[in-house]
Amino acid sequence: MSKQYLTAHTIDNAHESSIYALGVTADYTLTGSGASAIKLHSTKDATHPLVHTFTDAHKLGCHHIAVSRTGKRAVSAGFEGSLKIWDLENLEANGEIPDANKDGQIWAIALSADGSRCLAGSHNGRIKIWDLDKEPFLLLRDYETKNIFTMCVDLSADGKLAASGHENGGVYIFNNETGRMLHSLTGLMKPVRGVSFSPSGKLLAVCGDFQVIAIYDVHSGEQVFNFTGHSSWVFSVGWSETGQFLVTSSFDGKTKIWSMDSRTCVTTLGESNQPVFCTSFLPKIGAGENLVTVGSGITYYREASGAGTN
Amino acid sequence: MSSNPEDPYDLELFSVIDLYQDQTSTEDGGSEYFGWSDEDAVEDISIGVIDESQFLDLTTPVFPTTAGGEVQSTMSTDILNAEILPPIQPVAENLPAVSLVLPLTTQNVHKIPRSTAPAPAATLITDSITDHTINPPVPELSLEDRLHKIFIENRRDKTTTITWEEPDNSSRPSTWVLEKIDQVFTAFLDVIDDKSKLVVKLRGTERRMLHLKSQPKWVWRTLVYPGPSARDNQKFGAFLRILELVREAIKLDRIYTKRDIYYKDVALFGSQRTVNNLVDDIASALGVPRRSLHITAAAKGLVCGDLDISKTDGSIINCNIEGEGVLIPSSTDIEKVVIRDCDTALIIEKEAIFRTLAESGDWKRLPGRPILICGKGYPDIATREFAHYLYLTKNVTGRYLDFYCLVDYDPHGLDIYTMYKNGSLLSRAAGMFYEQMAVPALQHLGVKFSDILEYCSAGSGVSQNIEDHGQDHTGFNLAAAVGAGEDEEQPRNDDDNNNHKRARYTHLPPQGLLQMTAHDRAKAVSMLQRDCSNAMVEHADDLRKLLFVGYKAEIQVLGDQLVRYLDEKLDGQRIGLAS
Repeated sequence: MSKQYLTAHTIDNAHESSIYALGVTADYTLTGSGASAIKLHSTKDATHPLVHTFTDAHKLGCHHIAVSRTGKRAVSAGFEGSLKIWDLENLEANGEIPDANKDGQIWAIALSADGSRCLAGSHNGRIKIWDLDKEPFLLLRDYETKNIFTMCVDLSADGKLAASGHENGGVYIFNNETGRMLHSLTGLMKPVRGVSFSPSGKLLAVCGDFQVIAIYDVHSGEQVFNFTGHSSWVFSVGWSETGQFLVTSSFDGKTKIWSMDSRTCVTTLGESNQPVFCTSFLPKIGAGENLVTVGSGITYYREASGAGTN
Repeated sequence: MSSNPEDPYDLELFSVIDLYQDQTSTEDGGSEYFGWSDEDAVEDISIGVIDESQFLDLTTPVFPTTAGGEVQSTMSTDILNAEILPPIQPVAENLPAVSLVLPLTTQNVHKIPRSTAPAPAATLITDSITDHTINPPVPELSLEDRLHKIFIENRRDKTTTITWEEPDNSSRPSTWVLEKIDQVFTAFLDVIDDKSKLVVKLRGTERRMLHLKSQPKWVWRTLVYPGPSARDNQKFGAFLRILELVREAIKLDRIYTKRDIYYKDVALFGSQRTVNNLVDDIASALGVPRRSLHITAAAKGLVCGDLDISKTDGSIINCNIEGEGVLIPSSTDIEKVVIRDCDTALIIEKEAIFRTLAESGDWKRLPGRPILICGKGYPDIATREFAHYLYLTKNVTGRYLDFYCLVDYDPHGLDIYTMYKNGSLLSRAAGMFYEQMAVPALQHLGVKFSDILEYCSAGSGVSQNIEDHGQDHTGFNLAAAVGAGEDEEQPRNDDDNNNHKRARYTHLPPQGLLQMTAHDRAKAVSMLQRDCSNAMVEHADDLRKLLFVGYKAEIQVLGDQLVRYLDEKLDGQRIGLAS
């Protein structure tokens, strides 16, 4: 049943302060912190060296990073409310969504798989989608919700669906083709800190301060099942490439991997009790499902070979 | 076009009451609450009108027939006017005469287009209807403004100007201040007599400053009577009322607080801030400290501890009184302070916490027998000066005190801590001797987020220090229940199985946290922005964590663990210092 993981590499002093934001592509691990720079460490190289730094990305620090699945584009959101776009092929800044902080500052962000669509949720609960392919960036959708702080957002891989999680426990799913709300998922009463569509776009994983990972059927809006086991606020949730596993991280420093097949927790990681603010599986190379976590530092985990033959 | 809905009048009245608040909050530093800063606007209106109207007989202010060129239609009924009339003459003594006449003439009330500077000449030539087609969006004047306009038209074109621009000198006698004030009153009486105009110019400092500047920027604040609109007369009235009260205070040798002044005429001042701004401006323009005007801020700060304060009037305050704190006197009233058996001072944000510690006498049992100081939120000048005074004073054993600060875990708490430590940015920018109000050695004792986790988590009482090394993966699989379709909070019975394991975590979700509000977030971001340009980065990380995690907490979150918390924290600090 269980999987065995080893700490592959740890970068303790990657940033001068806590690391809040993480974005992983096949080439780079992007991290954002209280410092103004966004750092890019190599994802492939076993020693994960620092390969590039976007200096002065966000003057007051960066709290969210999203990358496209193609690995060509990233967006980052800063504490000052700005939203910047990065070209990961040429490693350069590629503009800024200009009126991002006009009505309610931007908080959570997401990118579509091809990087052409940027989804952003703001302080006042508005969810906006921009077309990033040509400037000036066109505002495609502007969803209004109940004026509650948006803590997390996600786009499905095909970009057709958007989800948002709010401070009051509200979770909404939108159909971007019709511009209508598909579902309003109720029942969660505490801040929702992570929403994530499965790779197929059929399921939505939701985590937050209720300490449970709730799995919803996107089509019906029904809650399919729960994962329980975290004993603190769950800050992030992410899917493996195949959709077989979920990874979640919590404020008490624990990172857990859940099997969708057996519907159980297969691994709990975490040596310290420092909060793990974000976690993600690495793009799959070989057999194992490797992952990276950020919080006080950056930690890479490698699945031990030979184990985990569930 | 002819009839006017009632709402605008109501709105107008409200905005008159509220006007100071509105205008003081604008970002324009130069003219903040006066809204406009020069006489040009006045000239345009008054000269233009006086020329054409030839309406100089002031004793019988009948409605201006000569202004017929710009006349259009009537606007509302007598009743409406009668209802509105009473509250609108806020200051000027001349106004009632006009308003008395008004009900008689309301059948023929004329609407006068708002006189923006270039407008009058044009409108007078053309006739009423075409005038309206040429310039359709002319806003309708309120009754009040119309009255005021008539009032303005009756002035003679003569201006008396009084300028207050005195170099700073704190030792000016109060008789000098009286002279300056009487000068204004004399001029004002003359102006009323001969129906001319009075301009008072005050030299002040720019009020709104985010960034520290070495040199304060001087700005002029100008008051004109009669002003271009009725509101301006209210401003002038507020100014005169304060002068009158200052005069009274000096004559009677009494001290008024700013709060007293506000409550003398709430309707006139509208808000406390109006009073504060005007008092500061008057003091600044006269180049005297506020106390020379016999005005202080209300005593706010509290102190409790083993110390005596000798006042300049010879009395001695013993602050070691069981049960309650002592109000901190103004620094000018303090002759000296004798600190006895304490070597710590603890500055507390919240009055409730201060009272808890003071009344229970718990402070005597805390390490260092701290002197408790409470500024009730943002501290006033007296409290900060007192803290600064203690900072420079040795106790009986010849030792300086250690200073600690206990504030809420939220942006305002951190801001208050910064204010005690560095002085307020505002006074720093205004060059107001901020270094005499700061305690640079102040240390942030708490409440910190780590403290909240340690003292307020559900299982924290059991054992917080056992390290968990996450070696045991299978144990948690038990908890990974397959509860489908249930509510999220349901797996309580699962928890019981694991309670013995969970107790080991220090990071169980703590109790008693509050969610950050939009206001808190804006405050945190503005503090980050302010501090990133200065060297004060001490709390940048805390602020970001507040924003990211989205929870704040008050000191009260410690609940009955407060004394234990302070005991351990203060003790830890002392050990840390000794080693």
